[in-house]
Amino acid sequence: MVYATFSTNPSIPPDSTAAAPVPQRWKRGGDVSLLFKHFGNNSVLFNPRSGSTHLVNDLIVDILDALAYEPADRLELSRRLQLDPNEGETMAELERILRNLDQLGLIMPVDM
Amino acid sequence: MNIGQLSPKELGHHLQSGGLRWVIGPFVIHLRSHVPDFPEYLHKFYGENQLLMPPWNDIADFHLTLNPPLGLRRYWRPKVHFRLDGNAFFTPFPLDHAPPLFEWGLNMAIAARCNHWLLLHAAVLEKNGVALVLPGTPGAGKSTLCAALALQGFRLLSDEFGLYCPQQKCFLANPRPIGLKNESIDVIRAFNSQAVLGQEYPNTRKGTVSYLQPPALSVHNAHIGATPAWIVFPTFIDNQPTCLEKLPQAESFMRLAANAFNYETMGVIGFECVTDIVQHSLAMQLRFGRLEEAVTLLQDLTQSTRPIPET
Repeated sequence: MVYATFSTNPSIPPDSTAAAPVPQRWKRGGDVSLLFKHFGNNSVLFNPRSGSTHLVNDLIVDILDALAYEPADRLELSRRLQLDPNEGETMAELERILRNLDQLGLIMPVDM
Repeated sequence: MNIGQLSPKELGHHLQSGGLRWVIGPFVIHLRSHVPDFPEYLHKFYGENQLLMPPWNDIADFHLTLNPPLGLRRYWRPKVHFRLDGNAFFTPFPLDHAPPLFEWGLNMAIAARCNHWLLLHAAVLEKNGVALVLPGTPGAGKSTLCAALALQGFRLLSDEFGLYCPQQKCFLANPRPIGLKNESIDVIRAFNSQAVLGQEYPNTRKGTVSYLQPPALSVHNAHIGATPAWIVFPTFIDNQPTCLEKLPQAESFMRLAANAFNYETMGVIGFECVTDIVQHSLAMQLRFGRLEEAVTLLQDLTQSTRPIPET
């Protein structure tokens, strides 16, 4: 499939994961080596494992990069991304993006 | 020898005995048929294609048959069956609709077999040695634009399939009759009175269909590919002003990938093919309500030998 996966335009409605428990930490999926092609402010991402392609913005690229080698919880991830963990809206948005990326098979929870 | 050098009667004899083999770009077609009027169609629309006379040394890519059923159905509401390697993929068509059935059957055969190339649902034409790609959804005006540009001297590589070769990094030519539908038939007749169109086939699943003969020069040069230079996504909107706008590369990538028949099947090679095409092309969105205006814009766009893709 070919997806548009902007942080402001999620591919999956937030309601679809509303009841799920909150994972503590996230990581990039195991041995999956994602391919990126950068075009200006956006990038196209190919996941060889699923065969899916995603149009993503810089924030998504940064999140995936930040989770590439070491798992992180939201606080650790916000530190890696230089986000303010005291900004409630920012952290809620980060949480929503993480769930979205999980649904798309690009990251996975570690501590479930 | 070309198909047109044999008479329809001679073509009919070959079709009914061992079959006929001819070349369409990278493909060798083998067809056997007992459909009475089909040799006339081949003579008119494939007359410039190279005919391969037996004994055949080349392997045919597609073994096709186009035949009426046996028994009483041959006489009562006569039908025609298309088969690829003996397998029928379509419900039979009325016997006098054999040409559309053949063209759609060959499309299906290419789509089913050619996963070593990226198959875009796109018309591809060449100008100044490089390719103009017109990806299109049904009704977008792809074939109408393609026909008009081919009649204006662009070299026709394909109306239906943009065949992109990952190794050669270019589009392969497979010029065939251009299928025009409904209003497009009269639009092309009005656009160029010299256009060679065949009979109309009414009440097909796509409405009324007619075919435009491919330019002879395009068929003769079908061994020459073209590297991508322009991607233009057309949209026909009746009575709307014509405009050509630049598209961001990332959006072009996604639209082109979604347009390909086998992007996912090809996996990472498909991703690399689309990347190659987008990186070497200027991508545009064309909205048009008048064919003449769209053709003029595309002629202007392709005047330069090669656009400089945005980085």
